[in-house]
Amino acid sequence: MQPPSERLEDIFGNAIALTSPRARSAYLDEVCRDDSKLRADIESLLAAHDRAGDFLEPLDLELDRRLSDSTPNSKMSAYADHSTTHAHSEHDAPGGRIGPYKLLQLIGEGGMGAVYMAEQVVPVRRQVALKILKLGMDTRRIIARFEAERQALAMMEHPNIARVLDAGTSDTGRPYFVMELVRGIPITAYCDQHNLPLEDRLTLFGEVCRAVQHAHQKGIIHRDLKPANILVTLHDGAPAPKIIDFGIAKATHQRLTDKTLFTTFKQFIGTPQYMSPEQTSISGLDIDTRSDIYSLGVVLYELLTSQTLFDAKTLQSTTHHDLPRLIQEIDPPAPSTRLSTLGDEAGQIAQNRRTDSKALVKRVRGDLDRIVMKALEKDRTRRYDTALELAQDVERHLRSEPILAGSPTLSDRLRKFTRRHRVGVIASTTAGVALLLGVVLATAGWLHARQQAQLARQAEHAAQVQAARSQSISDFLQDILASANPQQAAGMNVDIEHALATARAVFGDEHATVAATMTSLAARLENAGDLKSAEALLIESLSIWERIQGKANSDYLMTLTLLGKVQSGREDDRAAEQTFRDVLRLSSHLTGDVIPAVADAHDGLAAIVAARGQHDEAAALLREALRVQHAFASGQRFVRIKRLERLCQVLVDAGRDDEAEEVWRAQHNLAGLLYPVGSIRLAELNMAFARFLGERGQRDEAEQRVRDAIAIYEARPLPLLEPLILAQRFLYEILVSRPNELKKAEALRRQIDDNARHLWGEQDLRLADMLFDFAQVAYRRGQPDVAINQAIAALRIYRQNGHRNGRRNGRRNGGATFDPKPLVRLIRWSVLMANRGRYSHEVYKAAVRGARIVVNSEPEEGRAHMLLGVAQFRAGRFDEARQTLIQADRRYSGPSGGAPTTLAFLAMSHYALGETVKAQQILARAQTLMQDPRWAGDADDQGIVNEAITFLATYENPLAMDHSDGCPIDT
Amino acid sequence: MSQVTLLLEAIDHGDVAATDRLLPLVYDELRTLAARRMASELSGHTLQATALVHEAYLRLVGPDEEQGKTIRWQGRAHFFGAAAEAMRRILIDHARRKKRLKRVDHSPPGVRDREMLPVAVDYLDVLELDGALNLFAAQYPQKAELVKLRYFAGLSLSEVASILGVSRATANRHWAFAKAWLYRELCDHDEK
Repeated sequence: MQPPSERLEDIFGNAIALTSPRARSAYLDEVCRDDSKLRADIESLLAAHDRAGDFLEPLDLELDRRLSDSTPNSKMSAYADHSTTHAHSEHDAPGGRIGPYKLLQLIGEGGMGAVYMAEQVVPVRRQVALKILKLGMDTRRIIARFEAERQALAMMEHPNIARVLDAGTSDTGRPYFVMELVRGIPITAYCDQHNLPLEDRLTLFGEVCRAVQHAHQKGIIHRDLKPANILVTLHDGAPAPKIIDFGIAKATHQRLTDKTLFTTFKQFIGTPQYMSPEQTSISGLDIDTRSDIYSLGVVLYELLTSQTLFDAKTLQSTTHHDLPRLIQEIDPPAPSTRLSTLGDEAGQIAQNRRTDSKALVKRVRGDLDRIVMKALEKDRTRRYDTALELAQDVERHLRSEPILAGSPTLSDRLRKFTRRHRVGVIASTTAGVALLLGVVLATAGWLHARQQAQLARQAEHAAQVQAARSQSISDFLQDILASANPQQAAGMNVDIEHALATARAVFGDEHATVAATMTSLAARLENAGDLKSAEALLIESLSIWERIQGKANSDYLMTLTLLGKVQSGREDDRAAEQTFRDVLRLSSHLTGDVIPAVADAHDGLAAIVAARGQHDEAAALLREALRVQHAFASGQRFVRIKRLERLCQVLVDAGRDDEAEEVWRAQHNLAGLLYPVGSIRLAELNMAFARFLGERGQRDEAEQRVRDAIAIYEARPLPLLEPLILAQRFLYEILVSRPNELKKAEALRRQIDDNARHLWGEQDLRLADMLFDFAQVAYRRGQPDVAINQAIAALRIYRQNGHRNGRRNGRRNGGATFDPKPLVRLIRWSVLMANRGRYSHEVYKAAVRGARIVVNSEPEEGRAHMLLGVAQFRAGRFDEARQTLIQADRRYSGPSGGAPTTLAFLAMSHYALGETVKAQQILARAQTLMQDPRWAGDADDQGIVNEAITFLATYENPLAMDHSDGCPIDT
Repeated sequence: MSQVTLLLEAIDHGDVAATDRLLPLVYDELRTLAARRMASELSGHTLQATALVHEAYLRLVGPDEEQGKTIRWQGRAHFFGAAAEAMRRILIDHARRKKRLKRVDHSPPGVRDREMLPVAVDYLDVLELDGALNLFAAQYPQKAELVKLRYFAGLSLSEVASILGVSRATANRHWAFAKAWLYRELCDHDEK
């Protein structure tokens, strides 16, 4: 005999395979026979199965595929886009038609849409590439923009540019473009696969530039130049580059300030790596041809180094707020620098260029660096003016002629200096070293005002003591790092690299200058996101510092703290923790004034420790950081606010709410001083503080803070509806808890409702969610009528949306995403709660309305019928109530044996209609049920059964009803 | 090679004792990742349990796999089993903590505040599910394991099937049964 649980499974498994209820019933008849318990069990399971829908199903289907995919595709096919591949082209399949084109094969997919090989029949039979864009793009505008350029595009005829032939709209309303079909692979892939040496790559690149020049002269800017858009095909055996997608980017271009574009990294339109700084800026500068030149610079960078300008990890960990800043402000390392810090990879990369890594670095250093960096200037007035100029400089380099890029640079001056000074320079003393470090780090933006003053004083002293020597050294450094503006000289990093080499040559390997320059370079690399190289440099720098002057000094500690930050950035928390703890330990031995690095180390350590849940320690560390910071306060107030915020968070996590409140206040005061009146950040901080106070029960003050925030949001020229609504809702919850402010609360709620409808529209699910929340609040405040009405409004919207989705997906029960259970519960409890007070008839009529909707959504659900029955009874419609409740009871008879509530109301309904005997019978059942452990303790159910008992006992004449619960006989 | 990879290798070779040492490592990693996400300043973030598990796998084992190491199904099975268990604990801890911090809630059972967890679980209280799952596991241990792997580690049915060593069809049946059972249990629980 099978164990009962297995048997249950088996039967269940077989039963769900039968789709018709009759077949199921028959099967169960056969298998269960007279085992009613078993049958009830199975039936309830089957009911649950039918209703479960996507209960418990994992949410992210993408992950399924990622795990089961073997290796990422290394072979690049034509049009394969570097960005992402989302398989989602449900509607287009090979063989389909789009306009007059017949789709033959899917070639590639990208963030914006898909590309197919297609066949054109008229006016000429040929194969073309058809790019169709995703739904949701504003088709009319896109086509309009495209039309504007179509003339110019038609006039473009260049062997290295793929022509755009046509554009249109598909039946489903999606825009598409038809282009010359190019069979090739991205230029970077081509060069690597064929191991093209540098010369050949540069020649190809020159051709690309000239093609771009041609387009520019016709007034067409590409806007989305990247390797995937520069394909190389073979033409008569020789490689020929062909640029695709000309003119499309502009048509589909949306302003980058549009929030939707920045939702996730993957959804970027326009690949961020190749976007020029002005393309990422909000100020809406007109994009001109120089933007393409920047992109060409990035492509050249890759051709030389096989590295992307910013490494993928940096980009991924950069939030969308920071991405523009990254591109606009952070200097990437020059190609040769990048190559020299690569390590093992460099070998392979050099091989792909038929050379070895050392030679490659040498070859790239100098002219090529300068050409690339000039093209990559953040300030577009400093870039090449035309693509032709860029091509020409590259060609000059190939002919070993002097190039345009790079005016007399510091490296030239360096060389002169070394020649002059190598003989006479001796290692300087500690004071001098401090001076050097000061100058170096000051220009790297590391030092703070007070320290700079200190070092200036020291510098004076040093100069007096060893005038000639110090002077020449400081001259040397002034030469190297003459500009305080980091963007000034092209190839700044190249110079530091040179400086490092030269410093070594001049001072030897064990000199402070060398260590200081290393630290400076590391700081820049860290900024640029090249954490691996930064770490390596810092470790070297530290060992030099240690050898020169030991560990207990500010130089060592500053460098060590930076190392900690870098390790943290690389998510090597164990190492970072060790490093930070070392800083703390050593700082106790430090003589002289405290340095900010110590505060930073406390901060960094706090973050690591907090992540492990050691909140108390984190709090202590943050407090110490704040204390240390206090000692040199100036200019660090923003950092201070951030630290206070973190401290609050940590204290709350540690359950030390009182202290957290203190800190909140300190932060609040500081923020008030720091941020301009009416700034959004201030509003955000006020809101966060308000929530905190709310949780602590300090409603009055919370109210003040919220009102402050609301005032700020409302005062904006364009009121920010979304955060305003959240703030208003919070205020609403506060007001609604005070009995004498209910009128105000209601007025506010209407405002919020208005705002929400304005922001989201009438059918948005977010509106429904909000209404549901209001319903819950109203319910909690004992206002079932409001609760019911809000819930009904929400329910309607959910049903509308579910209905639409249902139809589209062809599902039977029309509500794929809508789960009415919470609303059912809400309406049900509201109705039952209404029982406890005297509510107007209107309430019950509303309840009936709501309950009907619920029943219509869940016709099989016993509780829905119960709900309706209860509402009908309360509304005095006894006949309907009886009918409904009988239905409900029928659905319940199973292992539950009927629910007490249903039975109680059914009994009362029978009684109200004069069916006394029946009423008694049903009531008896209800009372028996209350003995059952499942309901025995339930106060609500007991209360209703009691009511029924009273009802049956009190009213002798069932027909003379006067139900003082507020249910008049008149319907 | 990372500690985790070593353990997984050992498990692949049949060293069952290594499984005990696996959970704490995986747990630590997930906790760190989860805490970092929750501390993130981006507004409106949600914590995708399954994404975390995969990220943890990539961080703990990924670099070694890139170097050519392959973990076989036993090792993977144990990793994801441990990860699912760890994830479950983390979510429960978090839910409990949030519950503690919240003021006493006078709303009746069933009318739930959806903002309780930053985790993307709709209308489902992790604590409730945990209770139901424990009950379920008492009767149907293997099916409970399946639910854990699917729900907390986000594995597909075919992956779970291979990890548990059953056919895909069996996994489907088990899953349907488990869903129905748990759904019923949670509804009944609401009823009261």
